Amino acid sequence: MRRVVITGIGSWNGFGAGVPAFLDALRAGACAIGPMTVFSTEGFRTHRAAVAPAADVGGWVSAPLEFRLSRSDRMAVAAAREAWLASGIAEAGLASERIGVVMGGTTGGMPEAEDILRRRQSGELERMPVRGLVAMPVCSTADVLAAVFGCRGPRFTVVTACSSSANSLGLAADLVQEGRAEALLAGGTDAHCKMTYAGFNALQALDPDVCRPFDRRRAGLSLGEGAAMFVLEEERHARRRGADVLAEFAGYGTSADAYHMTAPDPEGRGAVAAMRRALAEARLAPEAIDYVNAHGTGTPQNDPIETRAIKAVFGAHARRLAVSSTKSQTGHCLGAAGAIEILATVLALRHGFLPPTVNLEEPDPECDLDYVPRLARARDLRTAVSNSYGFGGNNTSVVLKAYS
Amino acid sequence: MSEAVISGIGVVSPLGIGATAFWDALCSGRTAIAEIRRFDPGPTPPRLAAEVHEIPARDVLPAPLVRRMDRVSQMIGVAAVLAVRDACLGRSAPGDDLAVVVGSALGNLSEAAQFLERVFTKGPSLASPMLFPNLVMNAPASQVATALGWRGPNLTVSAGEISGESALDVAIDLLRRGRARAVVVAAGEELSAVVFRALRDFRHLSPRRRGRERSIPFDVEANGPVLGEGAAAVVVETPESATRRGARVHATIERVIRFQLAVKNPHVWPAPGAAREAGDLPILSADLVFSGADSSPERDALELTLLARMVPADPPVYSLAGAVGSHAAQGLTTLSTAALALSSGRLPPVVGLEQPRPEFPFHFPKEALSGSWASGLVLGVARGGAGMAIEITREARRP
Repeated sequence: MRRVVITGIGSWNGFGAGVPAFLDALRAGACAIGPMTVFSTEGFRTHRAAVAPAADVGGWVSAPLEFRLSRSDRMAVAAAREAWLASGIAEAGLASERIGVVMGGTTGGMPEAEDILRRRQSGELERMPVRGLVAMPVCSTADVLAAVFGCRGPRFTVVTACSSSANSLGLAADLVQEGRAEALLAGGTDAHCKMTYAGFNALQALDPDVCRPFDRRRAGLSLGEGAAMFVLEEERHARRRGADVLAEFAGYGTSADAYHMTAPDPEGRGAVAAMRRALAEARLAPEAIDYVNAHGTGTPQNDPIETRAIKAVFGAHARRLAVSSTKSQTGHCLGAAGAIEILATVLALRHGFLPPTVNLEEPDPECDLDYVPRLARARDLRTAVSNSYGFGGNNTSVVLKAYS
Repeated sequence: MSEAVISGIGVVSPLGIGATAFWDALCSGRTAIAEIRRFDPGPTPPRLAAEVHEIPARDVLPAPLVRRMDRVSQMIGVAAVLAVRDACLGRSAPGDDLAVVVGSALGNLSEAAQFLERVFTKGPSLASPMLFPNLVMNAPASQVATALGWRGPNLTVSAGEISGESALDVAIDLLRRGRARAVVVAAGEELSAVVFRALRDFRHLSPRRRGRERSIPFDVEANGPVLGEGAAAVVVETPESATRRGARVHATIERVIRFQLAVKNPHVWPAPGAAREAGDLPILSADLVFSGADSSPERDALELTLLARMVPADPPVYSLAGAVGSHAAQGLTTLSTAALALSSGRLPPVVGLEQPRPEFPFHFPKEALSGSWASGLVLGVARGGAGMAIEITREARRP
């Protein structure tokens, strides 16, 4: 059986550029949620968000192409560049058609399209310009990455709302296991846009303050943005070339609630099924898991349902394992959230610590597990699960193992 | 080795609802292209499109769902449920190992534009909480799962003009990996005013700067695509699963092949030269070829150049674009057409074609053909140079 390992990681989010900045922030229990500076929040329920710095991709992208890239594309290229260089995959002698690209996202180049639409509607623009709209489709980031890094293998983009990039990594791992690719650039990217901000605002799903997953005062999520990128590789291939293996991608499970567009199944049956499927694929008993990186949005609905699902899957072991929501630190990065949280989990395994749930001060009695409140803890970890759920009742769980 | 079989087909097209109505209209040589009725296209060309005027959502989908569903979800939802009915896999089946995969390039942009317009003009506090959940691109896939009670993997795949073909590829991987025993794969797009106006402003649509506005794939006078809309769905399952439950098989999917042409600009179609110079194209054989050519000179030339390299014989080559226009997620409509052609022994005419491009050695049928064809090839290429070829055969292989 072909195993899948992670040999490169790249990060771009509210904590800035690069994996070291993200690692430091996770360990320090920092929170990137601050004033929303990407656009005016006048009239909104909240004025907060985690904002990523603008990504400069000059030098890696030709000038004409750079001119057309969306904010979302730029973050992905920057994170992919870090993962690509760290993995050393370019020197592995792989044929370009053996390297694929699988991305997750939700809104692609919508921020730029919104601006054009507004100016066109107000009569400021007479025609819709090509620039700013060619990068609008969510699949265009994968096309850009394939062109920039010369990857000619299988390529597609997964859109399952907030679980998009957990699924992109799961399906990328499937391509390696089926022998359809030897390595892939995979992950997710999403940038702030008015449509999403106004939409969550209209649903009253945004916390006016900062999000507080599992806290009794939680009032919703805080939005974030960013990208996390991985080089996934077939294990023997990675070992033969002496790559530094960061973790094993050991299992993937995904399910549908088949229940409602925005409300999760109150019994959490889909979440339970996803975790069980991922554990079965990793051939691990629930008792073998050390840490769960929760979906943990901080909405009134998600956190108790996810807690119940974890208890259903892990039984008595749920009281022993650590659970945390790194969305309390990064904000909810939507289509990039799954990849960013899988990255946080890889860093936890690699560096021996439990990332905390910051802003958790008054535990909700319905949420009664160890959520690693406020401060990171040193802990040797062997195995972890990362959960990602999305609008429409999409549930995805990924099992990661320390590599030995 | 065969990959999977197609045991159900559902079509929502401007020529009719359901595989039979679609197929009969297609074989009669009709076109659904006409003046746009849903919105005002403006006083000068382009003014044409192929529209789906009535979606029988209330007849096919649960009423509480339909009330909240947008137009894209309704078209994809109806196509998916029709395919599932055709495959005799209903709500009664336990749904844990039944999956939904949807292909979509753009999604529900008409309501996204409506939602944003309200935010821009009235302020964010008046944004519609009812509209927002429909704006996520995976809304149709979730609605299909809810309508059917299918709780297996639920994925939406986007890959530009090969979104439908990519969804099929992902679905077959789900079967291979044992993540599902059957998958309904659906793909579709709507005709929206916002996309129409953007493509008109880009001068992408027929008639561009010359000739009459029309969709005439493979023609020397082709001057841009005419937009269409609709959805198609297929149920795919392993040959073993189909045999076990005694399912009727429309066609067997022998291979799904991906290839990548060299590109400098990932936002446009590569020039035909990229197809001429590609060193590692697969060599394929097929009795019939179903192309994604859309009556734009650049895409027609690219697909035909590819076919000239990939298919050594000179089989009849077909495109739907003259009959139903074109949209980005049309690959599964093309695949359904291919399966119906093999199983019925009929090939519809290429509607609108007058003067075929002489430089390509293919037969482009101007009249419907009859024959006993065993194999078909579906070809699609996206902006950015990603291509897919799907080989299907008529006979259901015994596992």
